[in-house]
Amino acid sequence: MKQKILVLVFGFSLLLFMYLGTRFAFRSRATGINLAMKMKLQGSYQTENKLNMRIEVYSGTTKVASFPNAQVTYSGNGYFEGLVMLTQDFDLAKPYALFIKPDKYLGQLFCSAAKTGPDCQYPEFIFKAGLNQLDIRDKVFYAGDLAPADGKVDSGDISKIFAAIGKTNAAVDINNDGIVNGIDYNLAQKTLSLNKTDDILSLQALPTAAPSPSPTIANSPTPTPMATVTIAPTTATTNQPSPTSPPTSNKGKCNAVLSGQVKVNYLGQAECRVLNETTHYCVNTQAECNNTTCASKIKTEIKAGVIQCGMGMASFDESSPINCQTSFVSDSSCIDPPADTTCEDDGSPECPGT
Amino acid sequence: MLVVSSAYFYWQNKLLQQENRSLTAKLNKGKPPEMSLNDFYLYAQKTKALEQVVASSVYYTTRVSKLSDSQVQVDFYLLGGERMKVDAADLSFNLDPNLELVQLNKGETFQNYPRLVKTNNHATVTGIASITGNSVLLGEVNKIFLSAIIKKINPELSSRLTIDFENTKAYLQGEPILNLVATIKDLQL
Repeated sequence: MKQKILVLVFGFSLLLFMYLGTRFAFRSRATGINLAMKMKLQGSYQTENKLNMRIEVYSGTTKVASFPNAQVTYSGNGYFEGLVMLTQDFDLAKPYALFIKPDKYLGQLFCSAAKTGPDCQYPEFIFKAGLNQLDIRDKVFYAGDLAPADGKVDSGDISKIFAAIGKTNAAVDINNDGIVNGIDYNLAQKTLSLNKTDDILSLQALPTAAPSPSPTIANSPTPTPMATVTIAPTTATTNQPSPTSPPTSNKGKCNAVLSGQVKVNYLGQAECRVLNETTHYCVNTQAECNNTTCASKIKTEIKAGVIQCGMGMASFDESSPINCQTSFVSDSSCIDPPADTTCEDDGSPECPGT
Repeated sequence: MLVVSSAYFYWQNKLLQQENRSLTAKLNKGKPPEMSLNDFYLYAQKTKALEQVVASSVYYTTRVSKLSDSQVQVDFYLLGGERMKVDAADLSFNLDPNLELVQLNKGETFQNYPRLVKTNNHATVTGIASITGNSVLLGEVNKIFLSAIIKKINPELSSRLTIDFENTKAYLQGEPILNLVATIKDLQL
């Protein structure tokens, strides 16, 4: 009887494993792709300015999806960024090309972040499930193709802007500053003078060979925000006693001088601050108070803090160089410092070079 | 612990910045758009420039001058009614293989020709109202819009210049004003 139950349990586990395997581990399709986009447009914008655009997805020469209401926001750093959700069933093994057309701007065709326009012949983007990075800031989008968009800037577009000078007309207010003025006129004039048009779709059917080896949509180091919840166990604390300080049964205070850098990924963007603090924690033995254990403990705490305060949108970069100089003080009445749950900025400086 | 707060600041800072931007955007949303002094001046200049205009249609025509046995100059005129003006116009034409476009010269219709595109057998030219220095100058009709010097590869052969109507336009205040019927369609050279 017991054996039968074991066989049943084993069989069920095997089925479950196969099911999960096909669903996750060997998944070749995704019903939705998230693009963390960064793009640059001709002209200057105000922070929080929103930009609507149409994104078309091509597989070979065929348009497989169109997203007419994608939106990004001006970051204030000279470019637009945003998370665009492509809610469509995509084959994760197939390469795709993207045609991106912001409202009032000319469209560009991307086979990869680097291959665009006439160079874009074979799709190269390989999507990954979850978050994909698309940084196309070095391919500036040119302004002036007003509705109804015809893929070029001509006298009709210029005349519409001229007619609206001094008025509030969002349809021709290229930089969305609330007023149509000389800036909008000059932006369109610049595009006209360069004789720019929408990229011509010169995609070709894929050769039988495998797609390009260097797809430029890279999987984010933090595919989903909640991925950071799975906290790796800290390095064994009892297995690495300091050779110079044999284990004792003394309870005490482990004072720590922390230095190094705290690196964090926030929606795919890397941030870094200098770590320069002192703290302490209580230990049961002197052996627990060593540099390795301390650094590991601190990393675990930061990681938990990032998850809590980052609201699932951030993850701690485990490769952050964190050093811990410890010193043990025998103290039978040691009390751990209170947990800080305020999520407040302590004003640490940014890492040099960031 | 202090060290934990050193990591917290990222999100707090981010969230505060986001909130600040969002609130600023909301505050600005209710406000009427701000016109700078330049905007006011430009608007006034534009209004003044348009005051005397009597809207009518315009059309392109040509005059051909022989420069040599193998070269001709084609002047394209933009014609229209008295007191008519134009704020933007495109002219595009193609040449048959026996013709070669040697040179394009801006005309007098506009002060500003931001686009002069030329290949051996094709040209696209755009003139637009000039707003440089906050003074507005509209396009004047009944003047030469463009001059093209064209070479005949074999002078004995009859050759043709054809207007590309898909890319030939004229506008005033965002309205198309090109009379397609009156505009020259092609030219025997």
